[in-house]
Formats: sequence, structure tokens, C-alpha cells
Amino acid sequence: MRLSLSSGNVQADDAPPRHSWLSLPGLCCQAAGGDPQEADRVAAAWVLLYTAAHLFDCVQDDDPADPWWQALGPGPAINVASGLLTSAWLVLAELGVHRPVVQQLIQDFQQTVLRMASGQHLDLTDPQPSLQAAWAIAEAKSGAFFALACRSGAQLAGTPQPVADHYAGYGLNLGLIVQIGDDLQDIRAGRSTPPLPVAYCREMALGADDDGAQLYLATKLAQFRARALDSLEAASGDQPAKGQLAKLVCSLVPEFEAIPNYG
Amino acid sequence: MTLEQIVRRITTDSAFAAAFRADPEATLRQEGMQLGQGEVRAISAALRQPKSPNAEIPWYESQLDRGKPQAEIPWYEAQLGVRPT
Repeated sequence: MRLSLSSGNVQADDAPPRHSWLSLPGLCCQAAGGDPQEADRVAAAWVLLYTAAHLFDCVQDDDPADPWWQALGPGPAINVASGLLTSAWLVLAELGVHRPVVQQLIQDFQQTVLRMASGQHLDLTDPQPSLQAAWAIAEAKSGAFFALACRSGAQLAGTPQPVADHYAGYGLNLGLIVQIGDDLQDIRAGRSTPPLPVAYCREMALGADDDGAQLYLATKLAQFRARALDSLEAASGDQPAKGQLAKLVCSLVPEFEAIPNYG
Repeated sequence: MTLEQIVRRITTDSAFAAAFRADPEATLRQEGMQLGQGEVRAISAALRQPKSPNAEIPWYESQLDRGKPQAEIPWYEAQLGVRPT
């Protein structure tokens, strides 16, 4: 069975639902010449890791609780997050711990968690990060996480490491696009002032809520989209499946690209 | 001159912004600024509403397997909506 984003997973030409991301390991496995169903367990582990990270992040940032743990409080929520994290390792181990590729995947997942935790540490301990530090944090959190999904799928297909690295490059840029899109949504909805636009305004001596930051973020979106497509083009593999991945990254951008007119 | 500084100039100097829209490379050259082609394209893309999400990516459009039957969606895809952490 081939995975496709061209029908059921995509609601409109330019607005894929965010759960399309969960197809990333399978699509990358397919693009790298493997059977996408092989990647189902990797996708499941990735989702478990995502859910655990989201929960840790919510508690650490003192964000509003999701309804299910509102009454429980942060202690039990952290406990659940620990369980989800451990479940991710168990799901991966069920792929067969004696297979070298599985050992490589488990190590990759664990190294990514360490990188994400380092990014989160900086995020929690530096109240006024420089623009460079703010990008490093975004790369260590969202970027590394999406890179993992794509690299894992490609590795399962048995592709050489340099090719898997191209898929990781695609995922890294996709993750940064997702992060920026989320920041832009927050700014426009007046929900919060995310670190990246704040760092840009500080560095450029603009007011903290200057809407020039939106143009900056939109510019970075275009830059990361181009880099994601370059990574895909450089990766050898199945062209139609690569087309699906390209469609995903291009469909994510337009909804965030509407910016104030500076002409 | 960095991409960040040029974006700032565009947002704070409407004459520069208009000139950049008309001819990015010439405007940067005239001002003695230098920026890579990729960065110029990224700013230009952000300064306009794209006509189509596929407009700038000719290589993949022909590769899409249109007309294939709907893929089976794993259970978790149907159940979860996710946000970045």
C-alpha cells in the first residue's frame, strides 16, 4: 500500500490538517524506497514522544492544562508524560532490538530527546535570548523533532546515511516552518508573544509588538520552505513520494504568509 | 548586511520597501547592500501573496500520484491533532 496525501489526508488545496505530520515517517520510508507500513511503529513512537514532550512543556511553561489533567494537576501529568516516554522506547523495541537499524533508531530517538531537553533548558533559563539563541532553541526543539521523524523513516528503508540526512534536513526545515506558523498564529490571535519575534524586535531595536516581526517570520518561512525542497531534491528516492512530501511543506506555508503590506 | 537588517529596513522605510518590491537586486546594489540569491527570493516571496502553493516548485507537481485511491489512514492519524511543543 502506498501512502498519499492527495485525497483523504488533505482537506483543501492549501490547508492540510496537522495530523498529516504523522505520515512523515511512512512517507519518508516510502520516498527512500521502503514499505511505508514498516514505519507504523516508528510513527507511533514519534507520536508518543510528541505527546510526552507536549505535556512536559505545558507543565514547565505553566500553560493552561488540557481538560483531561485539569483536575489532576501537574504532578500526575508529569507522571503520565514519563509513562508515554517509556512507552515510546517499548514500541521501538518491539521492532526487534537485535536488528542493527532498530538499535540505530532507538539511539537516534534518545539523542533527539537529549537535544530537545537541551533546547528546553535554554528556553526555560534564558528569559531574554538573543535572536541567534532563539533560533537555536527552535531548531533544538521543533526542528530536531521533525528531523527525527523523517530520518527514522528513511533509515528504516535501509537508505545510506547521507541520503537519510537529506530527509532529516527536510524534516528540520519543516519543523521550523511549523514552529514559525504557530508563532504567527499566536501573534495574530493575541494569545502570547513568542520568543522569536520578541528576540527579533529586541535585536533590531523595534518595539516589542512591532508588526515588522511578522514580515521577518514570513521571510524565514519562505527561506525554510526553499531549504526543505532543496533537501528533498538532493535526496535520492521515489519521485512521487518525494512529491507528496513537497506538497506537504508547500501546503503548510500559505496560510501563514499573509503579512501586512509594506509596499 | 544581514537578512534581518534588510527586513527591518523594509518595515521602517516605505520608499526602500517600494523600490525593493519593484527590483530587489537593483535596490540592494544601489544601496551598497549584498544578500544571497536565496535570501532575496525569500524576502520577495514574503512580500507578496502567493498565487498558488505550487507555483514555485515545478519539479514536484508532475510527480504527484493524483487519482490513486484514498490511502488507509492509521488510527492515530484520525484521532490526533497535534501542535508543536
